[in-house]
Amino acid sequence: MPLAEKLSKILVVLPNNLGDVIMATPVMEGLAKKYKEAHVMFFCEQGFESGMENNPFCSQLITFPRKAIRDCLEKDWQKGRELCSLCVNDIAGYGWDTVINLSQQVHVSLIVPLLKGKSLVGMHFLPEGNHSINDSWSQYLYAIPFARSCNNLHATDVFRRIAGVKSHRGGYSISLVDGEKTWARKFLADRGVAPGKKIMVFQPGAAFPSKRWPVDYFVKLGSMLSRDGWQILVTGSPVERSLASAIASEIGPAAVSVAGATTFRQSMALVSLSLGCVTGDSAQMHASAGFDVPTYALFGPTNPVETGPYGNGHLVLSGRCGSMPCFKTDCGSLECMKSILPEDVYTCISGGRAPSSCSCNVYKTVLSKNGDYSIVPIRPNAHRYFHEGAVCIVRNIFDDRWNCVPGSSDYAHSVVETGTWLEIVSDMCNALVRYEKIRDPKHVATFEVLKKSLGSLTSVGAFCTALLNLRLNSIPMLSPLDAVSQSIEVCWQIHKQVGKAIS
Amino acid sequence: MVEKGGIGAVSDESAESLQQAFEKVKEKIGVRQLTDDDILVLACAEIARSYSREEKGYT
Repeated sequence: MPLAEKLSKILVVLPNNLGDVIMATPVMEGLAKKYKEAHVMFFCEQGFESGMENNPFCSQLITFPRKAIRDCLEKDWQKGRELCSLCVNDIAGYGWDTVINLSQQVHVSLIVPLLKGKSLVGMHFLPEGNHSINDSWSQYLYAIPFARSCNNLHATDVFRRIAGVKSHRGGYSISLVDGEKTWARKFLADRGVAPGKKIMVFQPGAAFPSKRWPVDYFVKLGSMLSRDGWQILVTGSPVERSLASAIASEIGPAAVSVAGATTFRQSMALVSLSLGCVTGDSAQMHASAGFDVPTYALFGPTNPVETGPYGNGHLVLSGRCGSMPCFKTDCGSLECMKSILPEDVYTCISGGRAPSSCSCNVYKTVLSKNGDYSIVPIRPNAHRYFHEGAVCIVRNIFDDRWNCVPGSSDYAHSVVETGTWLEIVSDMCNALVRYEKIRDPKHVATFEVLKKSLGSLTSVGAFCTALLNLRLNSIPMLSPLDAVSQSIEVCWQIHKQVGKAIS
Repeated sequence: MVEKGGIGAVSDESAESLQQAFEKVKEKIGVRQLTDDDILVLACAEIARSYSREEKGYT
């Protein structure tokens, strides 16, 4: 359902992580520009404010002390509940016109209804005892993990659509104040980095071990760059201090580690002064892209289509592995990250182009006129993270036509699978209609068997099944007969919507 | 329970632990509408076992 024309208090909820908060900045900018009179505020967890601080489009940052509540609950659950209640009541006291929940965390979906927005967008818990996702783009967001090959949208672009922000100037909306830039210059001078020196930031750490590029690869690249006069600045969080120090000391005098010596905000200020950033899929990658610093993003288990460096002209190098993107947090072989060789990254940096032959995939990021991000392969035979035909059908389901070629090789296959899906769902609808008429439980059993059979579908079929399940699960179950009627309605609705997409 | 107004104003004193309070709320699901206080208990139960992947020390 589109948001009302006039809103005065809007709360965007995305509690963590650091990178996700940065990815939500275009939503804030879009809402602030769309609802000029409104107060657009941002809800995040304490400790994750960095990406939204000093943001001109965020009228207020509201922080939630999840960790403090968790620790309190552990010691004395009644006190913990009281603390949680106080915090939630405080936030509800603003009197929200709408609360937009971009988070996929269960505890957030339970807090959202307690914030008492007049309208709720995104997943929220119902008093009837189930989770509900009513808006179509939030359903899209939740369906992505079930069939990633059907999605070609960046998380930011899905967030924008959830919030009703149709177009965007492109790029993240992050900014620094003068004091932060001055601090960064002084910090570098204190460490012997002369003004005017060309700085390359290395961000070796990432949330998961599987997303990290090997230490010796960073060292080799750093050594090559230092010979060209680059000053290497190795950034990271306090827990990445030893990792960063090891890399800096191996490279030699041309490298300095600042990991653990800065806040994330300060680390952002440092990257803003650099001429490049080599990073895995990390918060620093988003910060670097946000400042239009040429970003060399090294991707392994995650998907650069969904969470790549949002901006124009950044380079994404992704490793080759049979199961990519696997989203594993840990990996014994690190095959994908190891296939991105330092020599190839060096060629990209020094020549501003992809090497003529290399062992990994290389893509350039592009923002279209409406702000939508995409990655364009600049090496032949690059891994395709999505299937054009499947994307074409899925985007049509959401009335969000993508400029695709229906004749593409996988389109015919996707149409056939969609047809199979439609037949099964039609039979499911009929089974429920029969149950509604004669109340024979065997028809419900038939419905369940058919529903289970949808599980064998892949690609578009899997995506549509996820959408169907999300909608069915959103139906309140307190009155079973009402739930059956609503289920029939939901099944026919989605059947019509999907059918239209291939007609 | 007596409604005193506001989320969490009603405290289920009979529950000795968060787990016990959580189980009591779960028994209501599918039977009757939950109150805000019930939902708060569910939220607390989730928060108690929550962990963000970036709990790694940025100050």
